[in-house]
Amino acid sequence: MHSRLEQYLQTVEQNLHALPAEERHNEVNEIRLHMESLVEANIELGSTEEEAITQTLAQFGRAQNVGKELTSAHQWGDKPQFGTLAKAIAFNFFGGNVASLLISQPFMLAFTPSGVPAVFWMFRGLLTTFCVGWLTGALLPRHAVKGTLYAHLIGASICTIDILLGTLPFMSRISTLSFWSFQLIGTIIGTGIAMGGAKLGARWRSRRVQKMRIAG
Amino acid sequence: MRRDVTKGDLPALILAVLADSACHGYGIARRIEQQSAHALQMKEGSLYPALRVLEQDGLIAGEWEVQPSGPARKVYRITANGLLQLKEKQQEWEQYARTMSAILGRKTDAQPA
Repeated sequence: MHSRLEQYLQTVEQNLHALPAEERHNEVNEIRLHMESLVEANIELGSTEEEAITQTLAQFGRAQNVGKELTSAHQWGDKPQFGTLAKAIAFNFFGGNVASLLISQPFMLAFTPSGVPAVFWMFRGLLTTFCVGWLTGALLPRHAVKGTLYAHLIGASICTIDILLGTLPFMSRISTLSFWSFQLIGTIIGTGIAMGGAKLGARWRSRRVQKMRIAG
Repeated sequence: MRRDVTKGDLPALILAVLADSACHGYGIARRIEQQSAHALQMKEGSLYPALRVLEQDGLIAGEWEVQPSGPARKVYRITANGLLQLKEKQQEWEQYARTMSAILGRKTDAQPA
């Protein structure tokens, strides 16, 4: 394929970085086939290969715009849906807390022998976070990743205010620096894991819908 | 007369083309061009975001299909919901065209001052 078309497709692909690799590959492949057909048609109409490529690139428009608009169409649809976003935030925020407090804690305390290493408790917290993120993705796929991010930022902000007001009892027992470091790292890791869960949940839902459409 | 297709009109045009028969992206662009007698032109890169939104809304379904000649292409078909949406768009358009011609049509009878 001609280098100018390859360069165009590379720019489109770079702007699709937020999509899973498989979807990115399919998008670029589809556009590549379209461009090749367009070049052939322009040559049949009497253009040289170079002219046909120039015409094709002009007919397609800016590669950055194509990539960004495609990403946007995949992730959020063409219209912002604030109700769904609010639901995703609320589900993640309250769902996470309810899962941690009502399900995870009593269950694990009842069935976990004493003396388990601290890393186990941390793993349990992260697993809950991942599961809630995944459920958000499966139930509200369009705004799941964004909703999860906002919910975690709200949670971290509330926690920070709580700490600054001195309402958490264990502050006196640990040094301020190590506490804030732990808080920051915990927030980043937790948010990342929840967003990953949301993305996987949304992808699972998308595949399921696709299969149902093909079957129907 | 040559006009650029606006982003708002593109989904309805795609649905109208697919209501005739299933087609791939390149074919959809060519059919819009031919059916409008080359009067409508668009940036063909804008076709794919519009197709993706229609797919997500369940108005069309796309599937990779092996072609008799050449590589596999993603072929799109209109769904039952897509046909309903197309009917609504056609009614909206007819209403809009009637309203516009009720105003613009009268202007040809006017006398200059």
